[in-house]
Amino acid sequence: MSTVVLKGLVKKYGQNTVVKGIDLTAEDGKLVSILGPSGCGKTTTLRMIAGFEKTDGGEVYFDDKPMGKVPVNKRNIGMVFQSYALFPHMTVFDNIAYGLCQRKIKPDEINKRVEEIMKLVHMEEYSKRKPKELSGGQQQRVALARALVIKPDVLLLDECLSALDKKLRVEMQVELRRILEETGVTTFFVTHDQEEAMTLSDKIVVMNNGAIEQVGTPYEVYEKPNSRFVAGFLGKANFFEGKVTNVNSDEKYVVLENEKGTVAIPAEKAKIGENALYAVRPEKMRISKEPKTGALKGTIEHITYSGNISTCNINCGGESILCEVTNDMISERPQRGDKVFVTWDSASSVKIEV
Amino acid sequence: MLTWPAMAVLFVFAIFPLLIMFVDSFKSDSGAAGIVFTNYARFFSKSTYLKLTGRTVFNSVLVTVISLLISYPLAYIMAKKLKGMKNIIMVLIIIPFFTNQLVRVYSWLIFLQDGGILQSILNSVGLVHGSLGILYTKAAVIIGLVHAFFPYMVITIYMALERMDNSLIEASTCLGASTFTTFRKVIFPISMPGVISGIMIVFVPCLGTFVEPRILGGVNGTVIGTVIEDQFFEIYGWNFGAAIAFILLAMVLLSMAAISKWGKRYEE
Ligand SMILES: Nc1ncnc2c1ncn2[C@@H]1O[C@H](COP(=O)(O)OP(=O)(O)O)[C@@H](O)[C@H]1O
Ligand SMILES: [Mg+2]
Repeated sequence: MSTVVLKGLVKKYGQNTVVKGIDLTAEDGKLVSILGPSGCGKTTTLRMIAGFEKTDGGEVYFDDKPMGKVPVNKRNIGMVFQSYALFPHMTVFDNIAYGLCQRKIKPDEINKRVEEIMKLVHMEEYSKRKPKELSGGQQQRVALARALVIKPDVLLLDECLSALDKKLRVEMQVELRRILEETGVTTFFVTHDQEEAMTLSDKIVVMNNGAIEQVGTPYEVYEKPNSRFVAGFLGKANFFEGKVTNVNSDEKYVVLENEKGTVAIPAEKAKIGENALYAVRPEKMRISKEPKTGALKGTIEHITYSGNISTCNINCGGESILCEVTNDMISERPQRGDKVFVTWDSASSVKIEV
Repeated sequence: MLTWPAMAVLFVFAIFPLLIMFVDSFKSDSGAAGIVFTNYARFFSKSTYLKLTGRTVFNSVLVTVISLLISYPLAYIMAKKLKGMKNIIMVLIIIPFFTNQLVRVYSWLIFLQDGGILQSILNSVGLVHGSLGILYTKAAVIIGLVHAFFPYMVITIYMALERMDNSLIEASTCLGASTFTTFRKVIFPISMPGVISGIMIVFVPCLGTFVEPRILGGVNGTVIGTVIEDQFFEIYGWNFGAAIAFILLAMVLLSMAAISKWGKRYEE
């Protein structure tokens, strides 16, 4: 187990720079998610850590040891592939033992360690089976066990849950968290699923277009996004943008002027005359039928009922606002066409530097 | 429904002639009436024929082994190492497929014969002085047969390797295996079904060939296939020829059964 540091990692394919200088630290035993849209360079970054791709700049360090010249099979890496890549001709036991067999470990010791890890992933009854005789979730566990049994310095997981169906995926997230906590291995987890990244990670790295947009705890990247991209990629966000024409610091609202008109929103930290961008999460908003000071007046144009919450599209004088309300009362559900007042805490307006 | 016409066609064009042959194989070449086993007895009692059987099997094994040694690396390089050139090489390998058998065999004849192209090349680089003496030897037969059959094997192995998920190789490497270990423990076993189909597709038809042995091997090329041909077209010993043909067929079926039984072990 190691602290893994990436310094200025660059990868080019021909003219195309797909990873543009990544600096990142995964502290010993922490789970770092690399989150970003498809094609942003997540897999490429992971493969550079593993050593499958040569770097065109920068270096990977495991505990201060530069890895540039260390070949993949000497890096002591555990990797779980999206397709699991279990050896189809070997039993579960042989699959898991494979890495230990490469390490000149005594057979008794191998047996002991394989059995331990099979217990950890709850697969001890399946040791004689071939991979094709297992369900997707079970294959996943075997792949994980095979990667962990060698006590890797770092565990690399590339979209390894995305092939599972929703319910199983959620179960496996919980399992993964438990297993990784028990083993305490430094982990990089690549995903394009923000929910998955949030539930699993100690730290989320949001990538876009080959570069890091933001690094932070799940709380930080969700509640305090530092760019429009991060705010939009992690969940939903309403954006309010414009020139600040008035600031009321007592009642905590800010008036913005843009091509659609002027809008006053609950917000702080603005200076008159500057151009400001605020992001507000839909679930931070409240709607009511009674007028409130500082509330935006609008009409519900569309409403999506999804059991625990309803998502309303509200037209507030040109600004289209997405608002999630909990369905806490069976009566008084908002209806399409309702005239409503939308409000939120000024602290929920996250100012994004532009 | 549709199977009936198909069965009828199969019967008329394949099974029926075979049945006639089968019946013929129990008739005496000297014209004696009734069912006799003399044709079969003659084959098994003469050491010449048993030796020929041995040689035929030996040739087929040798051709299969050489084909495997050529095909595996070729298929491997094509499936796992090449990107752009793949199709061109595939076409080059498949050309013998589409070449008329006689054209192919006579090209080898011209290439290998004394005073032929190969000799001029070897003479000019000083590797060989004077005539080659390779045509009309067993070696010439093996060369011709390997050339005729190895493309089939390249294709079966190539398909097995191409189908194989590359992340299996990466997983093995990640787990600490060297390139050689990865090949031995992962790549080769997984490609085994392709190897076995390749062996089947080369070994089995090799048992029955007579064109390459005849043309490239001359008197040294005699195998069961050429004996059967002689019986039918030279000696007019049709009944004996039919008996040998059925012995050959039995060998073919037996080896097919053995190879596919072996292949079962590697089926996923
Ligand atoms: N072997 C390759 N050759 C050329 N371009 C590649 C190669 N692998 C990936 N890319 C490109 O690099 C970019 C990043 O790919 P990748 O790291 O796989 O993205 P992600 O995993 O985030 O979806 C993509 O635009 C992709 O097309
Ligand atoms: Mg990817």
